[in-house]
Amino acid sequence: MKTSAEWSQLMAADEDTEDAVRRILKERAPEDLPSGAEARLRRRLDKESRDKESREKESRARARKKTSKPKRKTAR
Amino acid sequence: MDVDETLVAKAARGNREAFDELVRRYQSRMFQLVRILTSGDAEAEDLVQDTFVRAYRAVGRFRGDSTFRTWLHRIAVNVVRSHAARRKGRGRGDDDEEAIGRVASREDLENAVVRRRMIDQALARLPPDLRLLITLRDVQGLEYREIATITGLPIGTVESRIFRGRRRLRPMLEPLLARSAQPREN
Repeated sequence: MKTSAEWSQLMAADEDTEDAVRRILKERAPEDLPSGAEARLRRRLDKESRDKESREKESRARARKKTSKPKRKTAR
Repeated sequence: MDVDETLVAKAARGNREAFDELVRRYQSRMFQLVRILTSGDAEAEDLVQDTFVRAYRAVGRFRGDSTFRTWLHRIAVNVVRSHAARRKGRGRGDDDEEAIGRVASREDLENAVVRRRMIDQALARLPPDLRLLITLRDVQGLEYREIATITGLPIGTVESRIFRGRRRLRPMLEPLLARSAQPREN
């Protein structure tokens, strides 16, 4: 069975471990983005914008077609 | 309203420039996150692109229940998880980690790139769930509650797993810890 002092020592050691690891990870130098990555992402978003626009246009056109469709006359 | 909130509100109304600004603010961070979570996968850039494309598609529906930063991290984590599930069984590529102890000279340890590689190799040795939590907390600097939102884990579980992860990392980072404890020579 551990004494209170031993537990305190263990806990202090754990705190040291936590602090040390946290410090090292925090200091990790961020890598540079690959060359041209920003432009490539912008192009993908441009394409996404165009696709989104054409999807919206299509769905508006479909909605118009649906509402403007002449009703069939039914014989009474 | 902070800068992100303003940009998100504009982007949600279809303002592309506002979304581009969000990209500029977060692209490097997302790249860093994805690189670590995939252990330096060559497809990291594609995964970051997928993250922003998904965010772009969904930004109009973003309700602001969390911050944009938390929301974007969650999307990135989901993109990485889907990618990992696809790769499962296919084995790792040529970019497997080298032996950690290989780099040991004093000059090397002071080189930021070498230090980063050693950190990444140590993180790559953690189980994916611990690697994710440690990266979000100690590399990305997120709050525990943000991590809980991103992962869907209770905050207490997040805290205890991060604690466990740091303990497992300690021996792997020993060369770096020893170096940073020594006084630097001129």
